[in-house]
Amino acid sequence: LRRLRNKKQEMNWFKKLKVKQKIAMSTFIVIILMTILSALSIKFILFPCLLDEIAKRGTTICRSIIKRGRMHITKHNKAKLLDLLFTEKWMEPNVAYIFILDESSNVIAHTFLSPFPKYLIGLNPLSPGKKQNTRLIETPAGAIYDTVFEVYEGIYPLAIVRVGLNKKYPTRIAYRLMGSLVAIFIFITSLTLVLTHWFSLQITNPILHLSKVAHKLSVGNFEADKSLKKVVRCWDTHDCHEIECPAFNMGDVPCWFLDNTIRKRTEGNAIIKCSQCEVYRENVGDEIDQLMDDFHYMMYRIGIYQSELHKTNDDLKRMNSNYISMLGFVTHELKAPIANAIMSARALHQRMFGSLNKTQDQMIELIYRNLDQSLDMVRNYLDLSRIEKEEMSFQPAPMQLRKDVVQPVLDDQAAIIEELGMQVVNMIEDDVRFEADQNLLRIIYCNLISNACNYGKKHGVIQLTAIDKGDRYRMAVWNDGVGINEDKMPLLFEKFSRIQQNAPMNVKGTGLGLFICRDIVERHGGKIWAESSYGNWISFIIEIPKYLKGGDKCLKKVYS
Amino acid sequence: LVPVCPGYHKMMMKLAKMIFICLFVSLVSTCSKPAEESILPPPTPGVMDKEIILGTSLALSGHASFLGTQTLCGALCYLNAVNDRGGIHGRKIRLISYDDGYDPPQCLANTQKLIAEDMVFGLFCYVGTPTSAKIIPIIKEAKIPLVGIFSGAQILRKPFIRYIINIRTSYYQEIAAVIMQFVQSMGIKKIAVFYQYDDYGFDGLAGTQIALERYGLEPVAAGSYQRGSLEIEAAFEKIMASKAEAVVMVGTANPCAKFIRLAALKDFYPIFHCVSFMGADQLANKLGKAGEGVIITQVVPSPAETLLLPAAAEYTRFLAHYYPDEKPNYVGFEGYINARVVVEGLRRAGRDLSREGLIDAFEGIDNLSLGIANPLSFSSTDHQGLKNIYFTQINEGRLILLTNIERMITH
Repeated sequence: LRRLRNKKQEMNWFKKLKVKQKIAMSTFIVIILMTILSALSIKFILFPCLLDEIAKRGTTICRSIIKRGRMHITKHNKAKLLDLLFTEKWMEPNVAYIFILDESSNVIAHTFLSPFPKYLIGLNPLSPGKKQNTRLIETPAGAIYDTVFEVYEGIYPLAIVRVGLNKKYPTRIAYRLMGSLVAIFIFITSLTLVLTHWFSLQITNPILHLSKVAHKLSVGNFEADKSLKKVVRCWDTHDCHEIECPAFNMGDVPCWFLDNTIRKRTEGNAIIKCSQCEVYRENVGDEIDQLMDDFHYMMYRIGIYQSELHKTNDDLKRMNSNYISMLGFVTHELKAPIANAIMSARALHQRMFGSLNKTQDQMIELIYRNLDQSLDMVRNYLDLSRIEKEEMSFQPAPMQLRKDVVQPVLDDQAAIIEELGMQVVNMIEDDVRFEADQNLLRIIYCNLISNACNYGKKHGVIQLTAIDKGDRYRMAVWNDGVGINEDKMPLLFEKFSRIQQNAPMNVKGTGLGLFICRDIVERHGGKIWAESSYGNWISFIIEIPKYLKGGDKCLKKVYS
Repeated sequence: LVPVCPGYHKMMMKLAKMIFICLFVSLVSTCSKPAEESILPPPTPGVMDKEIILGTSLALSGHASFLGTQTLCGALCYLNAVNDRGGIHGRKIRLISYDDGYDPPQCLANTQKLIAEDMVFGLFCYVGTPTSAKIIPIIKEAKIPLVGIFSGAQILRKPFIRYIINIRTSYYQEIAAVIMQFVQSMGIKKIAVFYQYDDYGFDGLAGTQIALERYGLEPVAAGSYQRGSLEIEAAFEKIMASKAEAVVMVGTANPCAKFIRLAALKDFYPIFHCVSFMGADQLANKLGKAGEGVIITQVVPSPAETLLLPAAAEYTRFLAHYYPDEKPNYVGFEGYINARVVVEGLRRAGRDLSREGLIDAFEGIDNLSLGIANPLSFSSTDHQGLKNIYFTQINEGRLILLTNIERMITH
């Protein structure tokens, strides 16, 4: 297991290398292996062959001497024999010595230029029945392959020819060969490494560049294509001169050759193009060049789409802004008449202008209630308009939640609460104080309590709480309404979303209340969410930090 | 630009270093040649406390024996005189001489014996081209000095061998000088070569061809004979048929004398030229009247010039003292000059004698006056001591020095 793990780690190590390094390393390893193999083949194949050849060479020399010198041996003609021996010796550079012994082991002739070393005679004895033998003997001058060859006259031995061949000679050849081989291989290695390095750079540099650009693209930087730094030469067919393509690196300037948008020139049906235009070039250069071209082309396309998208986006923003302005204007204009109408309706209802019969009274009340709802809607739309146009004023100040926010809202809503028979349990302590815009908080509570009334059970319970959570307050508006399903939760705080499940049919809303609530809470750096048990209860929970961290700026930033 | 995993550069640097070291080692191992080893005698053999042993192998018997004996007499008379005066640096010179009968294998055997058994310090006064050529590999292997060879063969001069000290001029130079006279001064174009069929003769033939090539000529005929034989008829017919006006003879005295006599018999009278190896005095004696006009180039001046040349006078005196039976001659005089050069070398090498030291001493000789009106010089790249050539002609059975070759007597 450990071995496996080690292996895995080694693999990881190899994986971590760059392609360039991998190529260089594998080339290097292959060449080193080749070098070692050839050195070994020299050592274990060529070298023994050379030695074998040497041993055979000794026998050949002996035979040659015997063939040419038999008569001189018989006659003991020392001068002629010496001539023969020296001629043989000088023909072979690695002959150490040649000598001839007569039948009683006396030296007839030898090639030494010093007194004959007698110890040589006994060094390579012939075993009985054998005519020749080759043996490696050690002499003070080094290892020598000594060949002994017996000459016969009829059946009686006449003389013995001994030839010594230096062992160091083939050894030197083998080592020199090995050395030069290693040198050649090292030369090739260095050359190959340099070439591989250059070649892998040719591959990896563009890929690296492309991957960098792709990375920039992936994080949304569409300006990255400029780093490809391609200068595309174009031919201005109109003015007949070469220019730098004004369009290629700029998405917002269309290439008249590519898009045929401007200055499109045709001859018959064929569009006139730059002969060198890189936009049109296909299958030029190697695979990497083609990849670069395609990539560049893709970048160009993305650039164009991007600029089109920006344009559309701007258009949409402008339209939205117009719509919001109109909404704000309309609702603002509607607010005053409706308020006046409400006051008039209330005056009538309170018999300020004389008594009303029962039917009239009911009608007036209906008018009053509808107007009230309309005013709510107008207020909501006005808030929305302010939010969208970022005109909602935000003026946080230290305030007391129960006294400054909740109680006024409850007082406002007292009539409807009473009418619906709801029971409000206000469990908020007097000492819940923090820094917030109390007008905005009132909007929240107004919306939430109004919701609780509208969607809650008749004669139900509304429970208001505020818990100190250290650095923040957690406030909740709980009621025992039907609540909502878990899957509808995400839609709850969206603009214009109305969850139409089991709502009383007469409840009208803009679907803006909770959206505005969320906006206000976030403006305070807080969170709002709902928890519900469908059919039993629902609770809206708001968390607002006690202190506005980083001040207004931070919040604005968060908001924007 | 390229992000690299840490340690990669270090690794690459180490690799590069390793590669360089391997390269260096392998280059050194391929280029350097291990020193040649051979079974050699201990340093400076033949140098004893009171004695220096020199060896020589020359023809003391057979057809070339005149050259050998005269050279040996000339050399020994001077060596004896030196020994009688106390030797060199307290050492007397002993010369071991063996007869090779002008036979190369015998010379080889003698040389091996001198080196391996007699353990001589140096070799001296060899006679003959084929014999000397045979032992060149031994000289190189044993690194033993060989001084003063009675041969002008090119093989002893080029390629240059450190251990061979040549005193006399080469055959090439002798022949070139005589060819120049023939062609330039006398306008002779038809020149034939008569040569001994061995290294000596081939050397002379090549020398003639080279000398003639300078004038855009080549030998009109070339005839040869076997060493030691007198069968020259075929060569004679060939050369006579070519109607040569001059014949360059590269051989020994007997066959050449036979050739010249035969030519006189057949009414064929070209100018004969013999190289110095011929043994001029012997040839003159052998030819008698038939030898009139034969030109012989010499590498030493005449030993008869006892009044002009102090060396000739000394040679004559020493020879008369030590070998009263011998007469002064060119061959002996050359032996005497060789001995003088060897003694000068040994003297300069000093008491602490070695073979390499002797060669260095020779190479230090510059413009040494030997008393032959011809200074001797060696250098580390030139082991050719003397450069002069003397023309002699047989006149009334005697050799006379030609001071003006154009006054040459022609038949």
